[in-house]
Amino acid sequence: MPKREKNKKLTITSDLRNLNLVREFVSKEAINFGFDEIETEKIILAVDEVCTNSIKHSYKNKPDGKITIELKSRKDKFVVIVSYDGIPFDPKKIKVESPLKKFTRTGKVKRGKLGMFIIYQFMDEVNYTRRGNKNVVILTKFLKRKNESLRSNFYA
Amino acid sequence: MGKEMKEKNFDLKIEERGDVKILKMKGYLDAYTSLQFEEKMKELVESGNYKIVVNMKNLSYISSAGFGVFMAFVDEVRKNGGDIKFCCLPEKIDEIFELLGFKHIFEVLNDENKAIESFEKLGVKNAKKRKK
Repeated sequence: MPKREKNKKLTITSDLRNLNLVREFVSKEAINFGFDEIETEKIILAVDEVCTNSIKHSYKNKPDGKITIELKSRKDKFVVIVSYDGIPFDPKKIKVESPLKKFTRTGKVKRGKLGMFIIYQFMDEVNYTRRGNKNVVILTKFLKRKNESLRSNFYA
Repeated sequence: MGKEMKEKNFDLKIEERGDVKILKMKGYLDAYTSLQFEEKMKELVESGNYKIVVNMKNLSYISSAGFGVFMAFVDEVRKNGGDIKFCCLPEKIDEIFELLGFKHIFEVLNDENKAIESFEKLGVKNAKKRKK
């Protein structure tokens, strides 16, 4: 059973069916922190993609692994820390490209690595590290002022 | 009556108008629910259905795995004179389509009828081409 602790921590088993619990957990806290619906959706998507990647690639779809999602916030900073065991992951080995750029370059629509693109595109800071035997992904998003543009140029 | 695929958190209803299949989605299309959806898409495309309208009016969420299913089949349906077109996107999903650049890869319409009719027009054009 998923375990939710007081200090905004959720632990799930590495089963894709648990993704909805992760989304629900992150959504509630992001909205409480002050993000609007679209910014909350971006955070949810990024965390979902990190968890999905860990289940598929680090745990190879074995449902007995553990994934911990921890939320921390300070001033205008909202941090999501996802930790999991399994096969180490080095994001530098992955070439992240926008689906549109790929389509323009090749004339073909190919899936793959879209999750990584979403993670980097929708969060302000992404940090993959290894602590002991664990993979730790730190995702950071800042609250933006109302007059600040939320949209960056993804097609550049 | 259309065929149905039901799963916790995600429902798919398939209707048809002429040779256009209309996929009505409801709920959450994520890495889990997209596994069964991909099977359904495969079945559709392999049995020669190349004109597909995806009505997202009641879809609450889509992740990369969901997008991936459409990305996996769109080249094949286009090669066969069809397409995968989207309609009735909720605001949140519309924004995600925009931000990921999918509006430049896929055709996105506001209205289901318009999406279906755009295929009918395409059919007339192709028929004229064949006559020539």
